[in-house]
Amino acid sequence: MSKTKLFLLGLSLVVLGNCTQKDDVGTVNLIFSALYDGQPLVMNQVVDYDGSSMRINVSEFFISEIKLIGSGGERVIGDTRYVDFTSSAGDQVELKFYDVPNGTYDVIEFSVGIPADKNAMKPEDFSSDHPLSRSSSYWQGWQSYIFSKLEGKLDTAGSGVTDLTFIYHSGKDDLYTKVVVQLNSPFVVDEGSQTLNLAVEHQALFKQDGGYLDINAKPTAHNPDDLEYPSVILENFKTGISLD
Amino acid sequence: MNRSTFFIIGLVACAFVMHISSCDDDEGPSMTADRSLTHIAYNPEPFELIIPVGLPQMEHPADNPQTVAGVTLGRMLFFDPILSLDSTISCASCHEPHLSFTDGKAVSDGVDGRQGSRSSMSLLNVGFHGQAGLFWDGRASALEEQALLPIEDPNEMANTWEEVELRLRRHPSYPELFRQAFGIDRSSEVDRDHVVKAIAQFERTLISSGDSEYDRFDRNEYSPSDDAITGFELFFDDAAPGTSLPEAECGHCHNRNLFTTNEFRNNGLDPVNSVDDYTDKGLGAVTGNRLDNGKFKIPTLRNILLTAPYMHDGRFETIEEVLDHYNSGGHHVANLDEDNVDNLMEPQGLSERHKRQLIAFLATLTDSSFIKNEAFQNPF
Repeated sequence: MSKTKLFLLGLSLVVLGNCTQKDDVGTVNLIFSALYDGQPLVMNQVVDYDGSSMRINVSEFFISEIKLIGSGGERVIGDTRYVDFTSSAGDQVELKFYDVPNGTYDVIEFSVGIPADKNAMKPEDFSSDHPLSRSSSYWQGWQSYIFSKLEGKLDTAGSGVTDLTFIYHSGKDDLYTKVVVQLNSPFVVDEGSQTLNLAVEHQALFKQDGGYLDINAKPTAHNPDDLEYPSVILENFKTGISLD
Repeated sequence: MNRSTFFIIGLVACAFVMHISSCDDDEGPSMTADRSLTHIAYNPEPFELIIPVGLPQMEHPADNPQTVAGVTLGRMLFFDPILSLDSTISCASCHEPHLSFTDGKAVSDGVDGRQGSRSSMSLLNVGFHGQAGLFWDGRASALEEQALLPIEDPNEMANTWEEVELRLRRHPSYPELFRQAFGIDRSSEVDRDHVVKAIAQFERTLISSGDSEYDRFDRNEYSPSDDAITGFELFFDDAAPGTSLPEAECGHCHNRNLFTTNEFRNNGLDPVNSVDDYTDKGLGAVTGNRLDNGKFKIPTLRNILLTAPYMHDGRFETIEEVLDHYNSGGHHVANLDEDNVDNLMEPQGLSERHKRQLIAFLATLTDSSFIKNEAFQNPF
């Protein structure tokens, strides 16, 4: 066999090998929908909050260590992404994950927030196309990224005017919160593109002890030594995020 | 950059400057627009940026790597009024180094004294804009794209790119510099793409020095006054728990170390019933999203005491007026269904003393080394 033929044969094997590898992965579109009391949440529109009028106008959070888990084990499909309902055109945020190994999965798992090793870094440590380059999502006073932002206004006097601004930002390593969502039917990833829909029920994020957070009593959460409300909100993500 | 390259570039630049200064008219003697340049060496030398600790890495477009010759050319183009219709206005006319690359005016002057509607933005650290758009309204996504627009803006340089290209091709010295920067073979190959790339390369060198009082404080090399430290705590809502210091909330939008998050916000400057009522719609005019109306780019606060007047339209002459505005909580949109004013715009309860302390902190952001940097001055 001539050297040329040998070279072409080798090249063919390499190309075929690569094709085979690409056939083993697919793309997952993970769509988060913002809900409030089961209805699509439109930013800044009035919703009922325990009998009072409320407007949510900022809802954003990081998710990290995103995994699909099936009989073949768990697959990490992404490190950190930002779910930004505030600036999304509608009530949905779509995140794409490429090169997800083919397989059948029963669970999607991720954590709201930033893992400790990354949370020890700063926005300037990341390129501008990385979610962790967001300097608006880092708070020096906490030495932490802001894991989630939930802001809006509440009608405190029953006058119909949403007069009180609330701002709940969360952060710090201890509040890193794992969310596990069991899928109703096996989720099959093959060579194409598959969509997985998750809902974020915002009403659930405010629940506390069978009722709701007393926004009037504590409308802001900035003090790193008083993370009561942020802790409640992050804990609520565990049940607030579900299959859509 | 090695010494020989620096020497050669410097020699050509000096010859260029001497040539320009010896000419009686603005453009110098005209030459043919199509002459060979291949006798001039093209050996692009990468430009080594010095970025202080605490700032991000600079990102460069793949098709416009920064070179010594490119930066040299960009600096000359930046300061040369040849780009404007009547050769009276250069980029530097609105971006003067000693004012941290602003112009000290509420609204900048173009040719014939024409005026637009916006104030000149500081170019300090402009190369770190990341994924965010440029201009007050974000209408350009890259410095190269940004530099295209003032040339033909009737209220700025009021020229045409065809005319600019012709002038540069015919120029006795510029084609040689374009050859050194981009390797063109003939003067007729000088085009707008090369011009904006060179200007962008120069603009990416406009990096803060890391020598401001704040930077030295951040590195534990300097102790600011007590007032400045309290101002810092007010600025970043960083007072010790239990203290009565109010939260001025500045750091949310002007987060360190760029002192801008490069985002767009409505800071409640005007009382309106609807977001449709904003005279200057800012970001909304670019995105077409009504809820972006009234949003403008958050400017850096580095060198803020050098860049009065303030806001996109220069409405506030002093920093005290700016603080008064934020302390008041600004104006929310009357129709609450579409109120897109930032949630942080609420009355802050700052006393006169608090405001003085904030200004004392802002003074630590003054970067004298930056504005005096020889590499940023007019080469002509």
